[in-house]
Amino acid sequence: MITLDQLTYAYPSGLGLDKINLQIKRGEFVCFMGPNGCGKSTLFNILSGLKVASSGTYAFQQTTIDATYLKNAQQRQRLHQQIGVVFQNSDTQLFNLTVADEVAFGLRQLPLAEAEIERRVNDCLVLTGCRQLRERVPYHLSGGEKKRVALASVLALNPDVLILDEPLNGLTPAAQHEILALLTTLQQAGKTILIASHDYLQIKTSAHRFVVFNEQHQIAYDIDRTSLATKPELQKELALL
Amino acid sequence: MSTKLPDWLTTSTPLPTGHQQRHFLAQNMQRLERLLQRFSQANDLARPPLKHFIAPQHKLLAVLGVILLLSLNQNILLLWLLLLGDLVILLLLPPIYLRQVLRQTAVTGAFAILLILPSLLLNANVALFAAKTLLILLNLNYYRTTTTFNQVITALQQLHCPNSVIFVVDITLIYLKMLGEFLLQLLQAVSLRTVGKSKHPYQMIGLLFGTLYLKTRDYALDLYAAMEARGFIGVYPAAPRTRQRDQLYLLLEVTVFCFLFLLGR
Ligand SMILES: Nc1ncnc2c1ncn2[C@@H]1O[C@H](COP(=O)(O)OP(=O)(O)O)[C@@H](O)[C@H]1O
Ligand SMILES: [Mg+2]
Repeated sequence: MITLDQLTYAYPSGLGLDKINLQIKRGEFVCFMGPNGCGKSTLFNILSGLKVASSGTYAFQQTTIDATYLKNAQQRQRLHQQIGVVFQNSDTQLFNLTVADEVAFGLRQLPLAEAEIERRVNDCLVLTGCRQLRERVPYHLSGGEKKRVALASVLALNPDVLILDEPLNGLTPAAQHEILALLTTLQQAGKTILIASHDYLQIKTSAHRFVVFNEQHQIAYDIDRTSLATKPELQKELALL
Repeated sequence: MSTKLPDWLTTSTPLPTGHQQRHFLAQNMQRLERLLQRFSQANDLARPPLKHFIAPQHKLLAVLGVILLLSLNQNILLLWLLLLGDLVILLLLPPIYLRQVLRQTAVTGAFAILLILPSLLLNANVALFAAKTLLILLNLNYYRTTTTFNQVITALQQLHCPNSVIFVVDITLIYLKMLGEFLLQLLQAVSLRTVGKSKHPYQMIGLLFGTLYLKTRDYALDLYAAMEARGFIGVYPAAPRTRQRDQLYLLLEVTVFCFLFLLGR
């Protein structure tokens, strides 16, 4: 579903990603790990079409996503519908006046009946446990509540791929567990889940594959859960990240 | 939290797409995004710092002096002398800076000339005006490129600006970059969830600026609290010792200014 070939991204101040090769199939649950500044957010920005690689290629469903592809509004909007992103900082992701408007924002741009929009908004709020926040102003919610609302507003567009940049930061262990349970359910329904996290112990039972970056912005390990189970020293290393 | 998924979420049938025509907001958003991207990266540019150059307050005085001279005088010889002086100073710059100063002057100068082009064709006297404008732009761009934000603060301090003025400039400079980055991420979030035609593009501008305003207010309050917590009481620390070379430069500056001023009369 996603294929990266020798993908490199350079910021004016230095490298963000260095020659990344990666293949992700539909329905995988992949956890990206690594020290701060190793390039996880940069990778997500490229996958979601916000940035374009400096060199190398990125293909989504056998289509190469490059600057020319993204210039076409129709193609870009289609990519945005298929790939949903929950930002690391949910403050910047919420800009509507009520939580219900926030979740309906994307849906209202499509030729959908108001009843259908209403149904989807409700479903998403129930799924993420935000029903009682419906009429609240997103800006004034707590950090954990904002994360859930951001997730709800992304789910509303029914994306095939869900990207979450450190979604567990600042949540209580119980809330972390609920989010991971929801992600697992979504993955079982066929969604592809890509998540960045520092919390190996919390996520080790949910993710099926771990992609670990090193400080040089390269992939150090790309390992599935069963192989990882046989490598206790690597598990210890991940728990310390 | 319920974990029973609704039917529509378990299928991957693509949603019907909206109207594809690109609207005004999307276009402007991309332009603003590029601008902000450049702005938020401007400070990260890897350039050798110009630490032991002319003291910032003297540089500020020199720029102001040049602008004053240029606006008060009509003498063409003066223009040539100032240009000569500027060229000497420019040649002392490392090439990365030199290139940037010249590029910025070319761009801003082209705009300025374009604006006065009609009168330029009618009236020869305007040529003098154009030359002056270019010189002023050159000096301003020189100052802008070679001076960091911190040095601007130092310059204000050395020229005995009141602390309250310095504080306002300081805070603004600190969080201009932060707000730029916040707005950029906000626009990226909007673009990621733009999957069709927005029915009320102007309403969205309102929403974005509303959010930005709330953030501005929170940043300002947080920033002041943080500065207070670290012992800031509204007074900026004593300025660094002035060097002998700076004194000499100041003397030179004043002499040249007086000379040129008298010459231009
Ligand atoms: N806007 C930016 N401008 C310049 N450099 C950046 C920018 N964003 C990230 N970087 C750099 O790119 C590298 C990767 O950053 P990032 O992808 O945010 O890492 P992570 O999300 O894994 O912590 C870091 O070295 C960081 O300093
Ligand atoms: Mg990050």
